[in-house]
Amino acid sequence: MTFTRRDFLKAGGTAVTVSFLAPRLALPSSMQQGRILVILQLAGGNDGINTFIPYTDAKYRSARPTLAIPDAEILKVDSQLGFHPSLAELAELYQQRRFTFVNHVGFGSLDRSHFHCQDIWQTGLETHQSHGSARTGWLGRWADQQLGFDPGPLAALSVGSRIPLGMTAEEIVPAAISNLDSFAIPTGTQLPADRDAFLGTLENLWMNGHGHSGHHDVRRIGADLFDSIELLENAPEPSQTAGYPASALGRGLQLVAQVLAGGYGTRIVWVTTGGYDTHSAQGPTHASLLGDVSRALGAFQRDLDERDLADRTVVMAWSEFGRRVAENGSAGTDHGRGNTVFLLGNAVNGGTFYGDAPNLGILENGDLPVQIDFRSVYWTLIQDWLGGDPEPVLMGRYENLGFLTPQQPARTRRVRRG
Amino acid sequence: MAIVWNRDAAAHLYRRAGFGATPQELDRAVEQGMEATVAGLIDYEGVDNSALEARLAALGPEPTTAIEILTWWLTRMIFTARPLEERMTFFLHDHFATGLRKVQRADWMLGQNRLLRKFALGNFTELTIEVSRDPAMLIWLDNFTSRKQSPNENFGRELLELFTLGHGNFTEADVKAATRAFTGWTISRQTGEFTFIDTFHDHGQKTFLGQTGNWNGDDIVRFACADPAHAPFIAGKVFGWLAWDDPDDSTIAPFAEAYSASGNSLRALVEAILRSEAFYSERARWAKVKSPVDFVVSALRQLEISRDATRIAIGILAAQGQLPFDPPSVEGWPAGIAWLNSGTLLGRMNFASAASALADPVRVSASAGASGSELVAAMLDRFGVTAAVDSMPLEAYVSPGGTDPVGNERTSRVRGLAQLILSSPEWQLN
Repeated sequence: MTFTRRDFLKAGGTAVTVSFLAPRLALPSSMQQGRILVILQLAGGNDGINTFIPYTDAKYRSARPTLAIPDAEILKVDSQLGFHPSLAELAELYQQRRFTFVNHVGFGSLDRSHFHCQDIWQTGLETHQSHGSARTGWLGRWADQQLGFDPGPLAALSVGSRIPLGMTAEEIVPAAISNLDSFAIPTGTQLPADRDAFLGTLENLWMNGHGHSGHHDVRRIGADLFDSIELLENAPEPSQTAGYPASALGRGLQLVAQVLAGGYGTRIVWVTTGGYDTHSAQGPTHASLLGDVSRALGAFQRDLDERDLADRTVVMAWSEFGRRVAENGSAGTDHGRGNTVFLLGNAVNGGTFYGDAPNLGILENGDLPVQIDFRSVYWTLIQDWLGGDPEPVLMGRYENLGFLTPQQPARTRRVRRG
Repeated sequence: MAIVWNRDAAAHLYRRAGFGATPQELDRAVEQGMEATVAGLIDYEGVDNSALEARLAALGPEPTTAIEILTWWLTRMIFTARPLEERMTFFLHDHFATGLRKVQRADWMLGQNRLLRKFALGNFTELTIEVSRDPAMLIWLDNFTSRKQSPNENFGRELLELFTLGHGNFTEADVKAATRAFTGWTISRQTGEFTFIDTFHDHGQKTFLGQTGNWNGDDIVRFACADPAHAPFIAGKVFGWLAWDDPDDSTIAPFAEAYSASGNSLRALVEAILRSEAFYSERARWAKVKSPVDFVVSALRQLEISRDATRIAIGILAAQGQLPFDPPSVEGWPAGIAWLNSGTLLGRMNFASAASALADPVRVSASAGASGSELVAAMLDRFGVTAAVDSMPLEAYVSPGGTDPVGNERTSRVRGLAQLILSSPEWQLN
């Protein structure tokens, strides 16, 4: 059973409830039309070299005696870098100029810990910079700067039960949703006849309490929860035609599309998928992971096309580091450095890539070097897409990489719907 | 301003020094008075803990895997008769935050827990020397690789910044000197225990916090823990843990003094705090947000659930980001409102439902009379929220139309009351 504002009313909640909630549930249309950024975290360290393959580099096969993808299977949609055979959907989007990637992205300090590197990517700060200050994420700082006092309970969305560090803010509290079907107040301990009274009583405790100073923030988050449940009660149905894979990532992106289509003013979204730490027997595992990402993103893009959201939405996918160029003795790869970042969306200047193609003849300690600071990706996304001043968010100045077309989000380039 | 000792004050003490009181504990605390209640919490070594020991023995032999050490510690937290031991052990785990994620040895994490437990109210300087030799810490902050020719600053820096002095109370040169002094502190490949390898150690002169000599790691800990910045740093952290977040300097001063005067005894510090007017002041009441561990452990304790609920506890703690042995970084867990968002709040409401369903409704309402208002009063008392939560809506829920519930209705409403209180805004605070 779901807890909704109608239940409040039925259970005797009165004008207090309505005046408390009503202004927040009807967002001005300008707030419903903002540009949307979806962050996809590929946790574990994706092997960029077997993702966008330097198939013309003779050293590729010598460095990867068992892991090199057979030449005939590589999707050669680009003259220098070929797509892994599991990336059919992304290769097609690349040809449609709606998908691109940036090579050699990373940061200066040498650190191969998943833990530290994920923190660096999420905070936007090198480890030594981040001590002693509140731990906020780069996207959280953007949200505090740009989303204003009360952007609605779904302005920032994390798919899952927690807020990733990257989205952690001082003011804005993102919604965390794992599943729309279970996004409801539980009443399982109650006899059926007691459930309405139970829900009405809970509302009363949250909306009418007296109390201590700390209660204000708690009550605000409670109000966000109840509002979100109320809003999402009527969320658009999942797409029947987009063809999401039956994976956690597929379900997560399907949920994202439903929430975006509801018009709740959502501007930033975070989705995490993992399993990329392929130290051994990488071949089939990596193929399956990439296949999942490709099918899920392909379906997401079709879903956005069908819902007329594709011009307003950009996806950026990152992983904490790349993997070493040479495979190890277990038919896997160990932690490396420079990596690729993916970008998807109608506004993306796709069909070409950014940053030099990897040259396997020029390595640093066996790694692809870092040539582009990861914050340049964030800088570009803020400056050309989300809006606002990137410098205080990123606590420094970085270059604009030019992978977005900010002015005219590409209606003319829009391709036939899937 | 004298301390007003009553049921509400006792409930506050038990929330902070432990994981909430049961009604029986409140009865005894009110009868004994504040001094004796605090002494009973602190002198825990004399408290019979055989029921817990029997439960731990029933879990099987020495825990060796991640899930086993988690179950072991959560079982301790939920069923201990010595709540301050667990509270301070958890404080020290948050302070010397070390994670299985990197250490990758559950046995070493368990060993570190036993060390922290041994010193839960012990001498902080001696504890820090032991922590610097702890295999899990040597891995966690990389000191096991630190040699004269290739020193690793990770431990040296955090020792000063996070463990003993705090940001701004030392220089980069102090970090370098501390790092050099700890070279050669490593782990024996043969025994898996701490060993000092002389040839890896930098025997040169080092200037640390203004003192020059051929210092080793123990010297560094002693100097740092004798520095004037140390006592306020630790006193502020423990006071923040027990009373309210981010206390100011003047609040901390008397506790820093008590800690210093005792030669850095955590026992002296905790005792001074738990007997202070500040601790029982309005400023401190409900001033903290329950962390997921606070929420889960006190819900299970206060519902007196006797069966093993560690599996559902681990589920919610993982989802909410506070699995013991898995802190997010060496800085430990965040405190305060950061624990709450729509997802975690809904997760807490789901846990409240599951825990209320596990509770024995007869047992949790045994002391209550037949009327709805007596039932509500007993349940509010059970959770220590009599003064905090409005009873009127709860009474209306329990006795609709003024009719007192009986039979299945009473059972359903006892569970409902438990779930409502655990799901209330007040109970998210501590």
